[in-house]
Amino acid sequence: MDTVVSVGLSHQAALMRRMDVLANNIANTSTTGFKAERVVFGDYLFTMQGDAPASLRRVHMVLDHGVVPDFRQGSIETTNNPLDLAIQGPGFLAVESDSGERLYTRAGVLTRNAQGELVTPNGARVLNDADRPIVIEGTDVNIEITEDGRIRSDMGEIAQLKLVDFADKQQLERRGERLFFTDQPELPAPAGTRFIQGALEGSNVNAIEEVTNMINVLRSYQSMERSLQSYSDLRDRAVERLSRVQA
Amino acid sequence: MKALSTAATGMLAQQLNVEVISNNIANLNTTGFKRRRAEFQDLLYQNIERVGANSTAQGTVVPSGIQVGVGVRAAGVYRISSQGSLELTDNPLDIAINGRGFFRVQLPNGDELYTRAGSFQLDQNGQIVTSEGFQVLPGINVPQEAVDITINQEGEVQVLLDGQINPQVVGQLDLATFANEAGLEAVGSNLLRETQASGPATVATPGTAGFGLIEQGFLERSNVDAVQEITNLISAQRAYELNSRVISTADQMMDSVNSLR
Repeated sequence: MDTVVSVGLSHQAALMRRMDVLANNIANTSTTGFKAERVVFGDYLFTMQGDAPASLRRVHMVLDHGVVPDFRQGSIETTNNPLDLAIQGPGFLAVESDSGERLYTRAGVLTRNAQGELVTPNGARVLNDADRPIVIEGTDVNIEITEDGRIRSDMGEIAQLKLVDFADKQQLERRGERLFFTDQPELPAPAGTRFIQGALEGSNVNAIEEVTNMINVLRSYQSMERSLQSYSDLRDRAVERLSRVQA
Repeated sequence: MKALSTAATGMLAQQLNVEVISNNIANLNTTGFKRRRAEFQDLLYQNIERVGANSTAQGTVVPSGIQVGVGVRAAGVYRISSQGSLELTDNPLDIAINGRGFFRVQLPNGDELYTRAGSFQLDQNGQIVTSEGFQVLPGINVPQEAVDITINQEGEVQVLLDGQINPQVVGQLDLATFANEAGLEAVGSNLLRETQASGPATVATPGTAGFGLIEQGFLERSNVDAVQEITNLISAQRAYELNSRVISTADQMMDSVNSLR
């Protein structure tokens, strides 16, 4: 295949990937604790065969390096539910899935399960500072969660929520249902981070940004298509003219 | 190309959002109604290049990996149990709860349900019942010859009998609270049912620590805020349009693919 065509194709394939990621961001504009994602592109260099100096034989292909989450703070929306928690500042709640796996989330939509344990809507148990599930008895009324994550009720102190942070957040693996996984060591969250009871952190997807990116993707895609088209015309004409040369 | 189906999940989610908002607006004047909120979560992610995968045999690690999500789905519809405003009606059997707690109501089959809608009436036997005729627990009988009913803030029901000077106590209303009120299941007609998520009911007299007070002659209005619902409706509609725009953009890209030469 011609190099021009393959460079063009690499660009179009990368744009398709970017469009998929944009579509996922836009679909999650109303998802609590969702973090928008960006595709990182790089160039893939390779050197063609030939007699020209090596610097002139280099071809830059487009390659998508990775998809990185954007951990900017989402807007805080009040709900007045005692078990809704927003995290203001960097940090994650530590939870444990049914299979016992340690996961992390910023979506503090919490509820109680049959055992009275504090869980996320998909049933993952929220952990306390001693890595144990937090049990809220039926007699615990007037639940109060302080800014530093202590859970109290009229019956007294219940637990201290575990809030963690990581050195390299770009490496967190998304598991869906707003859960993240990583094997990095847990670090204590920075001092400025606080919990807000009765509120939730909205999605940080910015509609204007996403729409402009979407227009950008479509236009780049079309301009690449135009380039491929003119290259195809060029080739047609070359073949036509060369075949007209008289012997 | 996943963008098409991803945007479709986004449109479905916003459709649910609009349904929940329209139910809130429809119940703008329902006594004791608590507004609801749709909660969403992201769907699974497709790992095209795993986070932390090795890119060379020497153990170079991919810094971020390529994970592409496939959309959104509803995680649940939550009730927001903030206090509704109290409206004066002057009807002696209209009672509102100011603070936390629910009235206990018994269905004819014996089931115990909970409500905040205190628009009570008397049935043919003089029992205090809800507007559907269900008995309000613990069951209070108002004698036929009563000329006036007084319910104080602690829920004590007193009646003044014809020809007597001193009112007589006929019963004591109590309230139930739950560890997690958002976990109660709505069964319609303003009634709620206890679930595992809500925890068992704790029953006490009004005014006990953690329990609200009773206000006679008032009704608790719906806590739906019209302005908030309309703004939510606008943003849901815009989000819906945004998703449909993704579909048309993805369609145009596919169209270009078809015209490649």
